[in-house]
Amino acid sequence: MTDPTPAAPILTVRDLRVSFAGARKSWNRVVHGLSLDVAAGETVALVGESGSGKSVTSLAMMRLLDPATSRIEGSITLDGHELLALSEADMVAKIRGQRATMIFQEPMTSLHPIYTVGDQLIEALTCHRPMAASAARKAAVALMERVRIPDAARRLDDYPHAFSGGMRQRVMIAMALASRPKLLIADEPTTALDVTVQGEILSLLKELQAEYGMAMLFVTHDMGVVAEMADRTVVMLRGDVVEEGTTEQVFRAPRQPYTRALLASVPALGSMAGEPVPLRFPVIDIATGAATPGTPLARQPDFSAPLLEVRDLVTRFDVRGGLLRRKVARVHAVENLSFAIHPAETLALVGESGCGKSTTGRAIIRLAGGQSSGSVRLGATELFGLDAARLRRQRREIQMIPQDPLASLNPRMTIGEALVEPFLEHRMGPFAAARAKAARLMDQVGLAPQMLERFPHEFSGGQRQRLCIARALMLDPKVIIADESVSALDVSVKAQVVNLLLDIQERTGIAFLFISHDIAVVERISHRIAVMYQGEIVEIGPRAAVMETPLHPYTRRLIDAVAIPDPARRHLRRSQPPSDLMNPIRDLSFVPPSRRYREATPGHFVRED
Amino acid sequence: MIPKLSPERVARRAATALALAALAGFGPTLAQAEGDHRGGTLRLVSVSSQGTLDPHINYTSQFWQLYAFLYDGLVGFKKVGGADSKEVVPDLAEAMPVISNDGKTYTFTLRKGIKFSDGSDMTATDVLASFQRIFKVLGPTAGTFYNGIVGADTCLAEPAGCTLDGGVIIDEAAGTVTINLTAADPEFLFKLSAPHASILPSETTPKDNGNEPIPGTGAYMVKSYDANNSMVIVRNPAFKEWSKDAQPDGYVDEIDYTFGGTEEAAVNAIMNGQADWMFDTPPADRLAELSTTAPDQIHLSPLAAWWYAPMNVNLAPFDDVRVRQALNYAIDRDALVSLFGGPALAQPVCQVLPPEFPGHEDQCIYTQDPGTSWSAPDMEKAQALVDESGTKGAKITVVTEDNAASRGIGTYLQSVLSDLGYDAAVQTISGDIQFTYIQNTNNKVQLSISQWYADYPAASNFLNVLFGCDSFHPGSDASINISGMCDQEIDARMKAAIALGATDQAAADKDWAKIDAAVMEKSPALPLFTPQQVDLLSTRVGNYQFSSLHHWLIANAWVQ
Amino acid sequence: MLAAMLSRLARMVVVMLGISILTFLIFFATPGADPAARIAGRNAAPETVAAVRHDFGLDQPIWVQYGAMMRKMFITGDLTSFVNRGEKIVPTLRAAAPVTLSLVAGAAVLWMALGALTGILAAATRGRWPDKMLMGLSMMAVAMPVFWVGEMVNLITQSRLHNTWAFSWVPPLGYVPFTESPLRWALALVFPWLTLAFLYIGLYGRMLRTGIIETYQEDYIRTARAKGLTARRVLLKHATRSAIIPVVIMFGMDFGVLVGGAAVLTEVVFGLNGVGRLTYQALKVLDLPMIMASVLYASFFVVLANAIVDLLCILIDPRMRRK
Repeated sequence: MTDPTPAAPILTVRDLRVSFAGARKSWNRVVHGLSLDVAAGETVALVGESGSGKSVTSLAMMRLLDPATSRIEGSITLDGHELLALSEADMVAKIRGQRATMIFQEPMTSLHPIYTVGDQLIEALTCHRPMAASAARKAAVALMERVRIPDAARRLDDYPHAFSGGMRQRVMIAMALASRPKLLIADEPTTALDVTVQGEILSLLKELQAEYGMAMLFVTHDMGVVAEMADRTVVMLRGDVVEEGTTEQVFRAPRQPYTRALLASVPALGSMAGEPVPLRFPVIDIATGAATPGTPLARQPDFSAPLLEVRDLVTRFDVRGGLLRRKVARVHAVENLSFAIHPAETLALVGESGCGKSTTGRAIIRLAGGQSSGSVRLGATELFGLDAARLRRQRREIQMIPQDPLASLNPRMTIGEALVEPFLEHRMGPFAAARAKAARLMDQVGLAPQMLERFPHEFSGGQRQRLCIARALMLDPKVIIADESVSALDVSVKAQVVNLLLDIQERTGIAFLFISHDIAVVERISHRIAVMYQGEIVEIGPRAAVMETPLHPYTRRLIDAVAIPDPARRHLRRSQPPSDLMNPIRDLSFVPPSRRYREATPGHFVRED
Repeated sequence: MIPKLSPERVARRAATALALAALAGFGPTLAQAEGDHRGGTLRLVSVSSQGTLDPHINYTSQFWQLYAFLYDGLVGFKKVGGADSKEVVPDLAEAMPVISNDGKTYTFTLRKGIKFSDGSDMTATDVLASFQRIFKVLGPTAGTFYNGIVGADTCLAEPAGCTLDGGVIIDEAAGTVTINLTAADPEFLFKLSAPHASILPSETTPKDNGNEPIPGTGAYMVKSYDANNSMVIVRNPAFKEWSKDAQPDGYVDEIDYTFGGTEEAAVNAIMNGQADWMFDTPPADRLAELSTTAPDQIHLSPLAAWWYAPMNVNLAPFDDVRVRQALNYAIDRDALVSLFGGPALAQPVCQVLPPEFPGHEDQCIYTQDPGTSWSAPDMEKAQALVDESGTKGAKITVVTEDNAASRGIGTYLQSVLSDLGYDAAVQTISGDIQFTYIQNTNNKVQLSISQWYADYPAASNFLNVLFGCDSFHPGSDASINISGMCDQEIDARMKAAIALGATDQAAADKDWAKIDAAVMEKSPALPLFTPQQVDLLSTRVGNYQFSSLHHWLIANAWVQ
Repeated sequence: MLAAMLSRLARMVVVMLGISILTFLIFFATPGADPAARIAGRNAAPETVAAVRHDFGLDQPIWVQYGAMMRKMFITGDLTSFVNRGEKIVPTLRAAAPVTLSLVAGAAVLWMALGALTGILAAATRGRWPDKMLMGLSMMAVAMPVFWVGEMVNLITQSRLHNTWAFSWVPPLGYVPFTESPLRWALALVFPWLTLAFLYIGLYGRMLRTGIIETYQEDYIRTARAKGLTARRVLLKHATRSAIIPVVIMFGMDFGVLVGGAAVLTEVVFGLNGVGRLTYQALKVLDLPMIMASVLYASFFVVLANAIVDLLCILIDPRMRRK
């Protein structure tokens, strides 16, 4: 059932079934008979959306699931050992950290916070092969250097919290390499990382795989990453393998409707080239595989007068310390930001974590703490300097869709109550009108009005995000700030929600400030793009101009780093030195440099450095 | 039930107890010659110590018991067990004083050759200094015991410059001391027998000497004292017995007194032979057990004391004498005794003066058949009196201490009051606060439970102190007349009886018996019962003797 | 570092000042607490009460009295008790401190060692019989009042079975200074240590067990297991060290409070005249200077213990090191 592999498989999985203990001694099967092979030097990607069983499969291979609550059946053979027949002691002695190692999704939590990086690395080195302390240290430094951690010898004695996410993932990789494993299982290793860092890590993994000749099982939901990394791809859906083949095959000629749907919903950078306006994702019927191509946005922004105008926005936070809790430093979260949004327009604010994009969103609706200054005008009204009551009225006009919908919905309120509440709060009409409007909006966001009686936990992640959108729409806002609103969603759901936002804009002429780190989504949805770096806009302009002719080096790096779901680009190597984002904490005496912007083409500004 | 005697309780027990000391059989050791008993160490335990060692200030039975063999006054109570212990004998004085000037002048001649434990001679100068010191250190009885000495009034007003000019006159060469009183005081010799009138070296600091032992003339001296751990008492090297009655030479060489732990632990230590005697009363459950397993080690002695419930005669509804009488008729004194632990530990009383006390005559009006003793409560009469008074339904709060006995009695009184038709409640307050709380008229206490232990064997120490006008100080925490009773006629009779005592004690005691009856007629308090002293000794302690003033005479006991 | 210590010191002074003022005010607001009446003695003449009031400065405004008391406590050091007149407060407290410290420190060693053992063992055998047995025992330990346990221990070792081979070595109740005889010091403290530690072994064992089990959900434990570490090493090195932090914080609180006097029940039951008993006696007889001193002493230790715990936590958990 598999294509010929370059070499004899190191890992052979046959009919793997994983079940978890359910209520009253029943067993719920979550992986139904998975089979795959991975050969030395080969990378196999296990792809699927949440709930597909891909992570469970990877943990099962290391036998890391709790034996009390889980059951693994079938056969897993690694380098001649039948893993399911080994005792726990043998797993420790022969497999884990020896023949097979693993890296995980969350580099921030996967390292022990109270041991130094060196301790943990040396532990991985010495727990199977006893060696002298000095030799172990030397080996650890070598490993750190191998994963290109700058100043390795000194940083060995640092604690994980002193490392950025990317650097931590490098430490995790170094740890995984300590025993020169035959198999490396990478479970979503770059999902939590910024896009430029993701590129660096992927490059590093490719390079190390070539050097060590190890087999790699790559578990991910990101088709871009798959295309970039995998020789072969296994697509999973709800515990079943739906499609398997070489990555080229799977991408070029997907056989199954689900695979096709999945690929269609993947925002691919550059796919918008030549498109004048935002374009909806194609819709694919999972049962039949029939595709309906995405339609472009029909409504054009009205550039005659700005709807929301931000001028010289500055937000700073004080860092206090010492005896009297005096100010000792300042975080320059947002520095001299200026932009405008027009009716029916989508302005995207992109940047990596910590660049100040979310702070900007909160500062506009004045939720950010710290000291903000500047000017935010909504139509003719200046929001800064409004008294509390008038601000509250104005806030109606600007609504926010949060990143985590579950956290923003009161678990003890029905959806109906949650939707009606702000409407009544702002005295926009009687209760009956509120209910009628809520029902209408539910329909508009693709949910049944009957669902108003349900509680938040009864909805899926995508549905909850739709609810948040409906709630925002209850007040007929003119501007919606969408802060990473689709980032946490599965690809297919993400595509649907993006389409929904475009539908709403087309119908109501609402303006969006779309804050995101996902450039591929941004490319599809926005009219204009602003790139933020360290609290400042480095480049802003029409979407096509910024994406196709990026002028600022940071913009270029950002675009470059995006993994593109095109297997042809697989052998590309990025050779950038590892970068750490500078944090914007400054001395109290720091005076931000004055910036000048150059207008390259009409409306396309770039910061002059 | 027996209350666990907490320190604050005992503190008030500065005590004289009259009546018979219950003498346990001494067993075979009695047969040995007394000289053979000399030596050894006696180990005493107590839950806590009682503060300053200064005999002019300390007012607790726990330390008064020790002062018996540490210090001497000009005169003192005889150091023997039994009824004779209330007799006053010459101590540092050669003989009983010559009383002249209508009982206002006392002349003493000092013994020669008596030394303090620091080796210095005891002289008339020391006597004068000691009397001045009573006032200079603001002794607790300075204003009540010794205020009759000429010059005492200025000493009370100006303690620092106290001279007692004309009050205490000494002749160093002749070794005589003359004390002049402003008025005859038949109880003055008792007062001189109290430890507060101990003779101390003249150079002793005129302020509370605290935990530093002051040299004394007794058979023993304090070697070291740590209020939180222990006291070590050894023989006074300068001591030579001059009067077996006043200050006998002790048997044991050393007395180790340790403070801490619980009553329970103290019982265990005694039963294990790790200690010889405990100051506190053994817990009720252990006492019941011990009375069968080790009856020979328990000694019971009656105390000159009573438990009573003062009723505030100035507050409704107790401002109506009928209500006070009704309650006295209504209470079941047998029930109260059993609340305290049964007839072995207490006996019911119906009047102020305890049994065997000077002036006591058996009499009881608040009983079924009024006569000499109490038989049963008379609820009908009580109810009739309450109906007559028209106070039914009034709110009454009983203020008790937070120990089991006091609370139990409070609850019992509450039930009786309810039966009589009152709206009764119990308020429980921490023991040490309660005693001062109920004294202060500002706190408007209607009914409370308290105790009184006599300082010396005189009827006035009960009647005049507890119900005399002189002890009623409204608005003060120090107002021992808790009932607030000030009946001019009775007060005059008490003053007369005191004066009569100077010339004819027997006639005076007869008067006191009548005054006792008159007071009970006014019913300012509910007499509850008179308690017994319980001493638990280890098996090796012999020659147990119980003195009414000093309780167990420690120096008279032997351990070998 | 110096700044942090100074800041802590400043806060400690503020806390102690607040507590002492509060204690003072509460004392004088209590009816029946008039120190002059209690010092003068029962049935004292009004002149005597007045003289005492003047002599002790109790007729002065309350803040003057407060100032005088603070001066006597901290500067001249000659503050004396109202009840045990002449008893100097500061040396008395100083004499009682080693007793309490011996009791609490010994018990703390016991309860930390046994508590950790209990927690680790129970977590390692989660759901199986050793876990169930240990948790049952610790539940009992937590539920039984220390006073009762102490009395029972005494009943057995001092009374019922005192004359058997098992307990005949048990010395009489009370404290033996370490300087006098280290052996007798330890023997006298064996049962007090066990009794005081009993409750805390149960408490800490349960807490640590829960902590370890929760820590097992952490990603870094998964990493450690994936590295191929043995189950024992994962448990002891990776899970326990994280889980012990809340236990250490709690330990600081408990230790401070106990050294400050909260071990009173154990002290009284075993005849150890420490700070707790001193405080208890002072409260019983309303001895204001002693109450004041012991309250300040206790608050000092609580604050001190917390400072030490913060330091310990920083040693254990580098994340708490903030510039």
